[in-house]
Amino acid sequence: MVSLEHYLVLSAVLFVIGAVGVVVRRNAIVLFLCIELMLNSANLAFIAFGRYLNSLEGQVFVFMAMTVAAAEVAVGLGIIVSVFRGKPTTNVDDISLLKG
Amino acid sequence: MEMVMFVILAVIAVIAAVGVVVQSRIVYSALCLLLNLCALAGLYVLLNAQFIAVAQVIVYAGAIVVLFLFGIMLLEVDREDFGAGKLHWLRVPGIVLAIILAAEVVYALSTGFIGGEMGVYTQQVIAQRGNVHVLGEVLFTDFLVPFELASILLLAAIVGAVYLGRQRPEV
Repeated sequence: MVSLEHYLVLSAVLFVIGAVGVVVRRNAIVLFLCIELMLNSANLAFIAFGRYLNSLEGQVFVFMAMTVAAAEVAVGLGIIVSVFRGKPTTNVDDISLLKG
Repeated sequence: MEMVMFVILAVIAVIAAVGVVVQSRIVYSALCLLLNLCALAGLYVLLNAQFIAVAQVIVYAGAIVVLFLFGIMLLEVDREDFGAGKLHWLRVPGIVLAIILAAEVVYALSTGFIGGEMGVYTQQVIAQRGNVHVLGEVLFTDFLVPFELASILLLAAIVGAVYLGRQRPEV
């Protein structure tokens, strides 16, 4: 019988893998992919709680979180493309000066 | 049976997540994320959230990953070389700390009390009336204001993305 703890442990493992990716990778787009991984692990935790507590609020919150993630990806990729126009690199270590 | 499906989907999700982090070619990272999102959609179906599962495939796998691939193709980045970079010595401590975080979360989950106030939408109620019906009911009565605010948020994101992508005049 799959219990709530199984889903929460899976969510924690996915979150930690995403966090490791954010720390280790230096490309801006892969960084963004790992952030999406973390958002999805939180969504899984929400829906697991919603199912095991007989509530639909988990699914409503995931609905809102998906909306926010879509908006964030659109704007974030716009920012990455903008920065790339000034200096043709996507390595976040090179974009360390505020003046571009 | 449910346990078998859970284990299969969980293993696929974790392997795809590791693939996102480890691959040196960026397109492969995006495709591994796609696999992870589809595995999570399967887990949502297992958790009796069918609408969210399909919305996940449409929005995340169908729009967000495609947007990422547009960005990757537009910027023409191919691979990333590990080992270069100013802070590459932080990688091993970062991974160690992440493993410690995972161990702490697993310990907290196994010894703490996980629960809360039980709601009214049991599995029988949802199975009787349909997941979409019940979700729509909740979304348009209790959560109407967040729903409308989400549409305004999307409008703000569209305006922001168009502004960021405008053609600058050559100076």
